[in-house]
Amino acid sequence: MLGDILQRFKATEFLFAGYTVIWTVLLLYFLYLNKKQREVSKKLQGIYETLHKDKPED
Amino acid sequence: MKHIRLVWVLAAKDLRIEYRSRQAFLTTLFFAVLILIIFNFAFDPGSAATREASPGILWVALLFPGMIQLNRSFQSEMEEGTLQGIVLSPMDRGAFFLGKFLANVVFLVAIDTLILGAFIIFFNFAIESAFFWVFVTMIAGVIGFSAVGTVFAAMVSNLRIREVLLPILLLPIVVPIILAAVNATREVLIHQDFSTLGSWLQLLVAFDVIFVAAGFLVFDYVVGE
Amino acid sequence: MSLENSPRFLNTAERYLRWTRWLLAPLYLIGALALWAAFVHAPTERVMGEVQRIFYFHVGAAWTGFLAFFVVFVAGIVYLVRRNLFWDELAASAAEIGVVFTTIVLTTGPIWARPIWNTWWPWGDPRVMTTLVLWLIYVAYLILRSSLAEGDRRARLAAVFGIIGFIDVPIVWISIRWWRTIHPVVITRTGARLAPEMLQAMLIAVAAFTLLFATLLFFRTAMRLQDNAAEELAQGVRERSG
Repeated sequence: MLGDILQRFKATEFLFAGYTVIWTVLLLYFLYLNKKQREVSKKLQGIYETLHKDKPED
Repeated sequence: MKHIRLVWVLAAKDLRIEYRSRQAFLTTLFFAVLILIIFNFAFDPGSAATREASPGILWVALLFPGMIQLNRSFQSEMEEGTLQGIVLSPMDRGAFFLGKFLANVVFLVAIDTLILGAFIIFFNFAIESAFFWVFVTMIAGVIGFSAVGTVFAAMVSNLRIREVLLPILLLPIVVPIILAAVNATREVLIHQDFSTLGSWLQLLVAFDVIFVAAGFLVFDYVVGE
Repeated sequence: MSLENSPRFLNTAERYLRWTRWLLAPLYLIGALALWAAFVHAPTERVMGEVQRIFYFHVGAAWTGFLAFFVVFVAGIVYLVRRNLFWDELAASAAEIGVVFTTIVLTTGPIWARPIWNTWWPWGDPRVMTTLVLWLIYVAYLILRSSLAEGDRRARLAAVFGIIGFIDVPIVWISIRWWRTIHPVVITRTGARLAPEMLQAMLIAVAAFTLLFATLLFFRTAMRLQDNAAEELAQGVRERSG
């Protein structure tokens, strides 16, 4: 009977592990997206600044 | 009709180049035989397990030299830069694909026949009738392998990492060929069981038809502007 | 300064980012619903126990993984016909997201399989092996893209590879399925009857993942379009001042 309880408990550990894995993978992807987004924003910002520098009459 | 002639001409040109300098053929053959030998060292030569695994070993010895050859088949185009924007009509580009494909099939069947011979020797097989079907399976596999392989080799022909990139692109796609060919070979050769052979051959033929057609259709986009 | 794509791309990106923001609320809602359904609403499976609850998200991720590949396939074809780089950026985004979801499938699978069947990896199972091959094709697709310079050629070759890959996946599945009927693997998939609450949980999880996929797709595509536009603009500025 103790073996049964331990078996149930072990299975729940796996459930927790699986659940954690899903969030970890998604989180890693979100971090990657964040990094890319910042790069793109910086690029666009740089271009707007360059364009505005070229037009002193504004 | 003119396009069938074009296919022939292109294939014959490539094969003639190969025939003139047989060095490439022999070097590739040597590589394949080397693979077989290394596996003999890697596995216990006498055991039943190795015998079971031997069809897989055979196909490893066919696949990797095969990919070397696929890359080589576009080397002259790569060096001369004649691949990009080939000034041919789209139909001619299809013929170009078939010509390359055919040349590769002929080359690979020729070299694979010899590799099969080495395989028989190294793994101590008796020359039984089953080998006819092993040979047929091999040809069916080579056709599909060359169809997809020619398309991908053209894609990577001008890249420095093409030697590692071609396997990365090609091997996942030809998993059905590997499965069908290795299993068919194993069933008829090791298990003396011909019952599944028909189905495996059907799968190979279906793969071949689908991907020769697909290759013919998409090659225009690989090579054109 | 030739700005072929930038204005259109920036407009589309703006629109997609707006859609992304709109999708966030429904996403959170259905996501929360899915969590509730999987952990509370659905009953515990008699044979497999609690660990079975992973199954709902596993299926959701698998469905979206394959859906993403379909998007790669269609977007590739449209690119080859229309030659509008928008479709190429869409395909690349779908492939990226697809590989993330397929990774989830391949990692949650063994975690689920181990306590139930006492094995990490069921070699020979058609669904597992096909998903693995799909993952390999995804990775190959991304490696191919990273080896080529931006532009029409990369888009063309990626589209061709995506098309060939998509045609191939069903053949892979059939071949493994056939292989398995000859050599039955010890592990047989339990054809367990799904209780209605379980079916609901599964459907809600699938909906949640599909919504997540759409949100990520719009967001990533918008980012790619902005990046593309930025490159083009930078090039134009360089040409003008150079």
